[in-house]
Amino acid sequence: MSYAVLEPIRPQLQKPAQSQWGRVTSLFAAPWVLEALDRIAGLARLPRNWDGYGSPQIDTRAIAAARRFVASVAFDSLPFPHIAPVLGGSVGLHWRCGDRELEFTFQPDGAVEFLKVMGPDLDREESMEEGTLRRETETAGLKLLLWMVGTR
Amino acid sequence: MLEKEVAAERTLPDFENPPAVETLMGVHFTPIKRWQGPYFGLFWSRIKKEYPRVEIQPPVVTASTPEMAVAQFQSRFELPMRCWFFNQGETRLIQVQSNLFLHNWRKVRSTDKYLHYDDLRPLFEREWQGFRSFLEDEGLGSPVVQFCEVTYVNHIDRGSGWDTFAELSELFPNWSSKTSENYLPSPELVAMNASYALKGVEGRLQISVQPAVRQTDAKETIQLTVTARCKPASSSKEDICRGLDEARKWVVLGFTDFTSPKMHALWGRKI
Repeated sequence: MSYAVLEPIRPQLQKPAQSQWGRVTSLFAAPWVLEALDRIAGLARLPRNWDGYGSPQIDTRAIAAARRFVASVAFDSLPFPHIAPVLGGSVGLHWRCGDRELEFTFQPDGAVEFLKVMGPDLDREESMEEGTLRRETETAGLKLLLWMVGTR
Repeated sequence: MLEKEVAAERTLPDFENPPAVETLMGVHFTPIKRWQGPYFGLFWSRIKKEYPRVEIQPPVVTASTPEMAVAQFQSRFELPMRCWFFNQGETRLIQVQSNLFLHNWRKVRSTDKYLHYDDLRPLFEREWQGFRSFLEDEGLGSPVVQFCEVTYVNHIDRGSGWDTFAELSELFPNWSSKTSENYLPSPELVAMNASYALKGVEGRLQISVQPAVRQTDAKETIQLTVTARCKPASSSKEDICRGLDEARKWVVLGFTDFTSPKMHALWGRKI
């Protein structure tokens, strides 16, 4: 008797080539995206001093940037991100896939800070890498997500 | 020609504020046998002044027959590449691959005026003629055109004529929200694909309704894509123009037939 061996399916982030120029994300391809967008938009309702430490309200530019980013990188196989307000009026998105983690912080000035974490021993400094994206943040962020899901 | 005179000649349905965000027209031809990577750069050097930015893309497979599918599949191994050449304002784009030449226009800002087919076709003709001259100058021969394509991409944003997918039949009359037993609730999402054989000409009209989020502003929208492809009588400039006009006629009439009078009023139907 033979058994079919099922390989674990790696998340695929590639989209088929198309002749259309403008980009949209299909809600069937990424059904989680609407909820993520709503949750990010909901951060605007947090009052000033939401953390009890005098933080300002979440900046509308940071919210818009985080929403655009999610709309650009949304793929069915990407897990739902953890969405959180960040000190100083920023928006945080956090993904985990296996032993890799990725954190983005969308600043009001348009900069996007990222933190890559790899491996089970999170206390080791060499398992972390951080940086700031300032240009073409969607493309650069997508490359980081590809790293996280293990396709590069 | 004055805009009023052009408008007076229009007989197809026309709208004051159409939901079109992008249109493309072009031709698909049998793969150019000796086409190689450096030709992309050589062609770019001819148009670089007007199209200063280039981007490499994976090729699209748009074969309409099994034979073309095989030819395209083989050509992917030879040169799996397509180039996008952007104009200065990034409102227009030329796409080239070994079997394809397309010209896109897109609306960048919501305030941008819709560029009509009457304005775009002469632009396409000029660019296509330039590409043909390039092929001839390089000794690559004349492309044998298989079909002409016209595509309109429309965005119907949530809040502009619809709020939930329960209202879809008010946008698209062919969609019925009725069910046999009234068991199902209203759908939270709906997508549709329809294909129609063209009458009197070899070709197809394809309509796709896709719920989506626009990446530039994260707004929820229904993307309605209407594509007509038809076979021209020959590869001559005149026959290609006739083929494009026929395809465009089907796109406009198909779009109007597929959408509701309520939406036509919202978009300011003139004719």
